[in-house]
Amino acid sequence: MTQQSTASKQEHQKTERLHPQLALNVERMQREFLNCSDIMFRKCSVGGMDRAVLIYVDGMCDVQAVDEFVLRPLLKHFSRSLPKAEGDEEELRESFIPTLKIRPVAETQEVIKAVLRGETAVFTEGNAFALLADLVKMEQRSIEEATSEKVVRGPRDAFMESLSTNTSLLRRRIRSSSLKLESMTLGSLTETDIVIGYMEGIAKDSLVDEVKARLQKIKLDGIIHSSNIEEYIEDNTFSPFPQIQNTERPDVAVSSLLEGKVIIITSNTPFVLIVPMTYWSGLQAVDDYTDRFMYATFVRWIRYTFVHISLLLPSLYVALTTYHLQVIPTPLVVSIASAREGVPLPAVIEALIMEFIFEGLREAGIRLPQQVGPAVSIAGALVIGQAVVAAGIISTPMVIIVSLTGIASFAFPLYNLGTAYRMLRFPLLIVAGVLGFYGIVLFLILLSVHMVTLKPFGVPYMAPYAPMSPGNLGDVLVRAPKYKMRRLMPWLAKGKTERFPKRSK
Amino acid sequence: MNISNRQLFWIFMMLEIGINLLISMTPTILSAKQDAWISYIIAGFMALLITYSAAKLSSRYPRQTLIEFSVSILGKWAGKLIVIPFLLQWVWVMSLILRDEYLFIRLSVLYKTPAWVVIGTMLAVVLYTVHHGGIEAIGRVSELWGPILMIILALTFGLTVNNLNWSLLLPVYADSGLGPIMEGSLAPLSLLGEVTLLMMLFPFVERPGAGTRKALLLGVALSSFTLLLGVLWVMMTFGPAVGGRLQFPFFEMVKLVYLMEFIQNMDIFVMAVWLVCIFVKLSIYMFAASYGVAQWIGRAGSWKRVLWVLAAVSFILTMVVITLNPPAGLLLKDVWIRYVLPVNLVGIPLLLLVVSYVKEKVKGQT
Amino acid sequence: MFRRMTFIFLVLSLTLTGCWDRQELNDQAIVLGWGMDLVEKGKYLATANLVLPLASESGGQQGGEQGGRSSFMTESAYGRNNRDAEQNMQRKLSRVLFPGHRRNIFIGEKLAEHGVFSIMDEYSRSPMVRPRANMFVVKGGTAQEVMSLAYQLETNPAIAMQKIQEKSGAPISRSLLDFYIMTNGTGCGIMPAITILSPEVKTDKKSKNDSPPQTTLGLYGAAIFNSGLRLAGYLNYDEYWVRLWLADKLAFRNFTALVNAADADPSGGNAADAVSGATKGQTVSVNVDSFHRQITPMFQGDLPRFRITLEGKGYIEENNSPLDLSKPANVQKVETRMNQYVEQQVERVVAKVQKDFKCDILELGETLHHRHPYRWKKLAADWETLFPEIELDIAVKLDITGTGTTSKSLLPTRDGGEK
Repeated sequence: MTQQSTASKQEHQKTERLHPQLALNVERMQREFLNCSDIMFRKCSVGGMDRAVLIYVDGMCDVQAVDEFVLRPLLKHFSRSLPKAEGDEEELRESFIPTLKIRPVAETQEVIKAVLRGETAVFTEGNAFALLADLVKMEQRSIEEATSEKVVRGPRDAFMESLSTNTSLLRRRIRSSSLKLESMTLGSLTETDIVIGYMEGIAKDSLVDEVKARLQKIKLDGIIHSSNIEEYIEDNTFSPFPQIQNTERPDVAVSSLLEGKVIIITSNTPFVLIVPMTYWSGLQAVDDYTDRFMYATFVRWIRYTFVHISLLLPSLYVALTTYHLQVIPTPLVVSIASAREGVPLPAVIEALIMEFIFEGLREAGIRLPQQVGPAVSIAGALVIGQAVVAAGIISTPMVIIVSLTGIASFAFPLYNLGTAYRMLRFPLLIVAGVLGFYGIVLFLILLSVHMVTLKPFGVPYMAPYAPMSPGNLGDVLVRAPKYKMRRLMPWLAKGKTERFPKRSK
Repeated sequence: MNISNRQLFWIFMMLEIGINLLISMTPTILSAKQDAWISYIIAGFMALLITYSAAKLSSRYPRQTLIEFSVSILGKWAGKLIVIPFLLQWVWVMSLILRDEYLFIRLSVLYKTPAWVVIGTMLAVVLYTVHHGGIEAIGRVSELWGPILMIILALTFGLTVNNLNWSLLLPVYADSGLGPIMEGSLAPLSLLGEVTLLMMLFPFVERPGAGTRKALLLGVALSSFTLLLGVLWVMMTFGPAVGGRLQFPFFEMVKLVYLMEFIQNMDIFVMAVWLVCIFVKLSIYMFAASYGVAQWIGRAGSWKRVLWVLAAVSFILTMVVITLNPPAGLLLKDVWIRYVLPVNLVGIPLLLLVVSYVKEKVKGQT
Repeated sequence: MFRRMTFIFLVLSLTLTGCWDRQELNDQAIVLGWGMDLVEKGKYLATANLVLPLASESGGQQGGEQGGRSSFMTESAYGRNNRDAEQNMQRKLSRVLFPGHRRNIFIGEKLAEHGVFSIMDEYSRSPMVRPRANMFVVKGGTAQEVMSLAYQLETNPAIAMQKIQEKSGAPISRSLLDFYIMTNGTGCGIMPAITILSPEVKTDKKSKNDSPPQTTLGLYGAAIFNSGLRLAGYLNYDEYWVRLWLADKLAFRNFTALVNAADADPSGGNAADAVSGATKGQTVSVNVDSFHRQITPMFQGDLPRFRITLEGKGYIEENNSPLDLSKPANVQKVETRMNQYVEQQVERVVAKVQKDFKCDILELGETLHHRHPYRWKKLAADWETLFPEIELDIAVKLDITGTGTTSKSLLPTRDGGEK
């Protein structure tokens, strides 16, 4: 079916209204839900005739509540006043169905959507509308600990699939009416609910409008995961670097909100998107803010070091051993030379192979069933670490380099920033193998040029370092005591950048 | 597309340090002997004067580049004619920088790699930067790498302290005299004087004004100071006789770093930040030249097309320079110091400044 | 977007077309030491000390020797200069000679006597070579003899020599650079000298695992080069420190002098007695680890003279004399004796330098140049003839700051009694 005809059909359906006759309505519904075994029709027959029909999705409504608050009052009502029921919409809604959320709807299409969302529709004889009782109760897991962002100290709760739970997790933390949560629906078939959250008065209007505009531009059939949105709204898809942050931690989302960023919550996804992302926010971990500031600064520098190790170490090794041997201290050269003796592969090929195998192991490791996991990783470690060296195919220093690089690449607090570096390692390795250190430097320059030209949602990616905003460096080069970090980034803040008054000490 | 004052500071810092560290020391030491540091102080002060006059000139026309305000000062024909030496200088200097870079790379890391690869890759990175990010990207990259450069240089100075021998600076003045010291200061001055490039960058500054002038003066002052430290270190490590004969004395000095058996041979890291300096310098020249040429022919909007042409031209020019291989000293002394320094770096800016003042006065009287 | 992709692709493909400078580690023969000997005029014998990477079975996990294989090899070749010899050497080697780690250069005595002018240029010109290197003159032998000798403590004799030199109070690994700087100053040069030392007493090996002292490498002292860069003579190990002290480069040194019982009496007996050991005396050793020197040029008419003050701080490490060191007066006596002894040593060496070598390795001319540049201009031309006749006032001031872990000796009172 072409898109146009779908659209016109939808247009036609939108105007379709319900019929006063119950049987016609039910027939219409049955036609709509043909072959949908999960849609339930419950007839209420009093005195041999159908007086009302309940339609709901099996497993999406609170059966007990429907029983108690919808079905039972209805039956009671019908058994009391026999013949006519026209015009008593008010009566039905107000007195007979004692639930919080109930509304009459006359449009067929809206009823269908509501039913699919999990509401219970009540069709009554003689009424050209259906009553929609919001007794949605879906099976959902309870709030669990964040698995991808673990912390030593700090809140344990994580976002989950349910949208309303997620918004409640935020609202629990920000009891202010300036936390705005605007909702919209995306995806022509999946009809996924999306909530855009921001702090009014902190976030720039232009940013909020830009986010909304970009979201509204998305035209696609289904949104399965928040990453679908991510690729549609990010500025530069042809970049290895993520420009939209994701988190499953409400505390991270809240602190981003307070910094003037905008969050996007997608239904059925425990990962919330935060826009705009800066490079440094990908390197800040939650623990930085719960540890004492000196230790946090120390750890942060260790992290920065490891981040660069994960990018540079193999190529530096290759460049230094095959191009600039004179730079390595003499005793080290002698021991590396001894270790490399008899290894048939050139260093760059050796490094590429090992990195390749390491990435493969990691990829396989993610998908391993839990029972076989240890077995395979032991085999991998043995095969690569021991046998390969013993067989003289790979040299020992290379194994050290690759495993160190591998470990370093997990030092990223943000997983997909780590993947960017992990991927860039390969071209860098090739460049280092061709032009040595000169190539590495040129590559780094190119990389830094690329990074400073990235501007997700108008905010420079490397801010507040380049371009520099000295007032915000307290959260980049060090982790300053919290009372010192009282400024918002000028690119994010609307109006004044001060978050709270200066502490008098 | 604009840059902040802080970025301008870093741009000039890196632009001044880069090639100066490499090529200006040898001629200065040769002529001023152990008093080379005095030459550097003199050069620094004169460079500050040049900076001040150029900045003064530019702040009279804060929204115009050199190409534009020379026309507003001297009228259409004279204004267009007088900037021709600048356009030639910019195009020419790129190939000189590239050649020096190639010479240095060939001597220190890549011995056999052909010239076109070394130059081509560098030029490609520059082209990408200028084309893709323009002046904004250059500013930010300088801001990103500038502090790293300073840290590495500080480390270098710190780690070579134990090689220093104060007495190599003695006797002061007696061996050289005023003449040689002044002559020695010409080489660093002619390179520090490249700060006149600011006349092309001024209109791209976010808030041009007193802050911009301060940033520029500070940038030139700090880079002169770094160079002064560099030459002092070189003198105290090698003495005037050896220092004056080494081709790249600063980098030879860095090779002497030796601490705890393991920290040695920092030269490769110094080379890395030095390459970034060269990159910044080339990009700025590339931007200024292509934008200048585009404005000169009256089509500022199509400067990116000019950029492609200039990149190709400077590649060919560099290859020609490398093939002909004129001695570096000759170029520095006979072309740069004799013509570029008096004409481009001092003469024309002063002339424009004076004419601009006089014009204003005349206007005020009538 | 796509333009950017093509751009990156272009850069990559440009660089992928070749690896011009790539040289695998196992295709290089790492040169750790380089020796030059003169065969006849215009013909040199070069010797290279190469790292011998171990067979890879153990992957370098066991350092040192393996199965009796030593971890270095030497190779040699004739040639007309360094590079020529290197090229001739290359035809015997399956790997490319890599001079980037050539930290030690050995020069045979014959070559040193003939003059090192003809070979030293390469050590500063070749771009791969580092400026931080040592140069040694082999006293009474050829470079090849020294380089072939296995050294027991280290895996490589070249490295061993470098370390020995560092451990004897001299500055670390920069004798080559210092040589260049110095020859440009006063014209004279100085280099550490090494020699082959046989064990003092020959002890036979009685069983397989015995390890009696063997013939080994040792530091001899310093070789002095005159302004023609020809060997003028040597300062031996007991004289070398004088020059280091005068150049403010000495790091530590032990002085042992005789102190006789007579010294217990009013101090200042005959100094010569104590120094010569003519009268019966016992030894005292002072370990000095902080040195300072002051050279002050003065003028008598047109002729310069110098006052040289040498200061040092140290503590007594060994006392075999009957002096009771718990008494400050006795420490004072040791100090006086020490000063006299050291002063005589210094005077002797300085006289040797002035009269025998006639070469200003004490850098007195440079000092004059620094302090009195205008007068130096007149003197500079005939400094070489002036230098041997220059008058020097030498004063040594050692300051004994401690007496070690004991004050009185732990030994019982000895003959002569406690004084």
